[in-house]
Amino acid sequence: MVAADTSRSKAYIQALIRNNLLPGFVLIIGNKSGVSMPGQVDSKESINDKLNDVAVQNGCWSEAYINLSESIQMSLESSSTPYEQLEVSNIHDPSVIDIIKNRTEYTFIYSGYGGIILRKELFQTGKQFLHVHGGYLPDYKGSTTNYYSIIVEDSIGASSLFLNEDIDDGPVLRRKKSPPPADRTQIDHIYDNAARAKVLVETLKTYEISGEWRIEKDANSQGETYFIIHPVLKHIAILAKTSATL
Amino acid sequence: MTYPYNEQNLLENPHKYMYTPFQGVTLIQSYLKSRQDILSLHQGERKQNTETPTGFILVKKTFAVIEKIIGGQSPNVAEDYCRKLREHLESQCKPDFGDDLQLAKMTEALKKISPNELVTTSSLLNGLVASLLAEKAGSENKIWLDRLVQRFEVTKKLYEKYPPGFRKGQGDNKSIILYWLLSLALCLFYSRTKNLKFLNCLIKVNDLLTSLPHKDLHEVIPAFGLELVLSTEIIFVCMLAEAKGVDHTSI
Repeated sequence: MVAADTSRSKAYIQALIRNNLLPGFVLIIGNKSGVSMPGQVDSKESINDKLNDVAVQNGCWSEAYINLSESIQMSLESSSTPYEQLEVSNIHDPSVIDIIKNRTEYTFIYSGYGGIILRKELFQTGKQFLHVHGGYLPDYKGSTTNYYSIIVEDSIGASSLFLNEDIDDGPVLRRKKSPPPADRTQIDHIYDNAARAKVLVETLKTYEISGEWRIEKDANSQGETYFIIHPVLKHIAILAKTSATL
Repeated sequence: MTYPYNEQNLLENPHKYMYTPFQGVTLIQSYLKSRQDILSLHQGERKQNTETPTGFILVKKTFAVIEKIIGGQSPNVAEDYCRKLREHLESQCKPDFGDDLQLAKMTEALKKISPNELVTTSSLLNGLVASLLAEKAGSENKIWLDRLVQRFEVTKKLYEKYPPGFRKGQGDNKSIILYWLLSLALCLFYSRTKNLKFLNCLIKVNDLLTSLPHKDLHEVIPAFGLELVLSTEIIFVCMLAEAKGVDHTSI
């Protein structure tokens, strides 16, 4: 697995440990720049990772128990998962490429910093990268798509896929839609990650049982590609009171 | 609170809009107030911009199309939205049968533009707006608009020219008229499709426009052009908020 110091990587690793799906090895790409990277929790942000009972009882949020104060290293050490840490935030840094290329594992769960499109040098390592997109593919490609889908159809989605050089365009292994959470102010760091973690767990469980990667949707080139949602639309998605679709 | 997304000149300091904080309904209210304040300021200095007759034709025709579409969807909203703009537009211009000929020429010019050749952005945008006015959201229009939206969303700029492949732009990126034309195209496309991708981009483009010095806008944007794109954007946002049960009028 390739992990970064983000709420998403914490969500993934905690979910994998909880479901006894430990990765064979984790490469952590750190960030010592002092500048917050996409996906990192800003110290000024108000994050509520203490879920209420109603939220947790709903099966679609079973992976929403995310302890953001627990570091990735702590989680990995407590589960005896081998890891290596590089103090580079760039996934395309030669030191990152070298480690991935020289590992014996063929499939890597990808959970790097947000807003990055993987380039060919990563694919030239000969490995495949399993990513979970925060949106229902192929309808919602691109960035922050769960806010768009809340407005359009009152749902949140996640889809696991093998990455290629196009945005959210590779074969889809599993996809899932859920109703939005009760507390929509915590989508960025809790519920979007929880929806993705659940699909990741289900994808890996299917692989564990069948011994093969089952492709749900091979042709994934259609759909709309969205860009980072504007705060006005984000607020409409969070404050929306009606479940009526547009 | 003050609307925070157009406080700085966004051509000089672009906003990435990543992980923006939740600020409650006051954020929507501050957005509306910011837009209304700029409209009031601009309306006070309105003029007939005789240097850009093509631009004024686009304003007149865009208003007519959007008025008709909104009128079909929400007559009360349309009446409120259209009244002032209609009065001003009708006082400024008589029906001109040369307009349609001009638009037809611009639409024809769009057909000759290829992403595999050097593209002049002003010709592309003029042709695209004319084409959007002439027909319902055609697939060729969406392909061009998708390209422009992708370039603007990624770089937060529109360049004077785009070499073959339509990726990295060339030349000046501070031409206000290009951003205004994109805003106009987005108004037209969203009014017909209700595709949020384009409303999203419209609000960002208008954030950029409203972050610029007022006199710069006044000099280059055709008469009523800024009022049209801002008023239309406000109506789209309010209609969406209403449809989703978001009461932005309460304090």
